[in-house]
Amino acid sequence: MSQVHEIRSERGEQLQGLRAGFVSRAVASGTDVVLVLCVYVVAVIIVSIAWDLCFSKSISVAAPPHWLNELLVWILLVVYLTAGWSTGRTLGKQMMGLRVVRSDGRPLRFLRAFFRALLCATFFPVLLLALVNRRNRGLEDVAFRTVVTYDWRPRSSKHRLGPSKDPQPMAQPMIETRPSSVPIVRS
Amino acid sequence: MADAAEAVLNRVVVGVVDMLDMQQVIDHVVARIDLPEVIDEIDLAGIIRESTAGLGAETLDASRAGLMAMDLWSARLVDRILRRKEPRDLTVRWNGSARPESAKPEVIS
Repeated sequence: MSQVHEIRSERGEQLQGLRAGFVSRAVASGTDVVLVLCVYVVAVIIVSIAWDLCFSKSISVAAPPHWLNELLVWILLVVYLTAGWSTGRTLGKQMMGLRVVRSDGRPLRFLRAFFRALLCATFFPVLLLALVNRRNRGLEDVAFRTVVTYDWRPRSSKHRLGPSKDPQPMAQPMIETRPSSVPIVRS
Repeated sequence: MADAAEAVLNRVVVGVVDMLDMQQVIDHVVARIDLPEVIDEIDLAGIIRESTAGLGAETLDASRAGLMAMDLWSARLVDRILRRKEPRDLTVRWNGSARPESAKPEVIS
C-alpha cells in the first residue's frame, strides 16, 4: 500500500511549504490545549481513584485547588509542546497539517522548542500578532525565529533529522516556494 | 446478399437461444465456480481499510482546505482594514533539503 499522501485540494497543493495563517494556527493550538486538558482531567480522576483504593474506605474524585490545577496544566502543556515541536509536530498541528520549523526551514532543536513552548503556554495571545503581521508571524515566531508552514504530507525520517549531509555550494541561490495564486512581496 | 445472410443468421441464433433452458445453463456454469474460494481470494478487509482511509484523508484534506481559505480570507480582511495595498509575503527561505516534498519549488534568482 502506498504511503504517499496525495493532496486532493488544488489550493492545498499550491500552499504547501508556505507560511500558515492565523485561523489554522489558532485551531491547531486550541486542539492541543483541549487535548492537554482532557489528559489532565483523566489523569486526576485515575490518580484520585487509585489514591482512594489504597488509602481510603470510600472512592471519590478529589478536586485539586485552582492554583495546583493551573500549575499542572501549564507544566503539562509546556512538556507536550516541547516534545511535539522538537520531535516532529503536536497532534493539533498534525491534524491541521502544520509544522513549526526554524526560519531557514530546518527542524527545531530542544532548547528553542522549550523556550517557545514556555512563551506560548504562559501567554496565549502571542499568536494574535500573526493576524496582522505581514508575514503571518506570531510573537513567538519573531522571538525565536521560527516559522509555521503548511505541511500536509507526513515527513520522512530524512526530513526529521534535518537537512541532508550533501554539501551545497555557497553560491547556490536560495530556493523560495510560492503558489501561482499568491502574490509575493519580497522584503 | 450480405443483409440476407445476416438476417438468416440472426434468426438461427435467436431460435437456438430460445430453445436453450437458460436456467439449466446458468446452474451448470455456477456449479463449476468454487464460490468460497473466490470469496477467500478477495481481500475484503484490505478493500474496507483502503476505502475508509481514503475517505478519512479526503475529509481531513477538505477541512484543512477550508481552514486554509479562512486563513487567506482573514488576512485579506485585516489587510483591507489596515489599508495595505501590497499582499502578504508567505514565502519561506528553505535551505534546500529541509523543504517539504510537496512544495513546488520555484527558483528566484
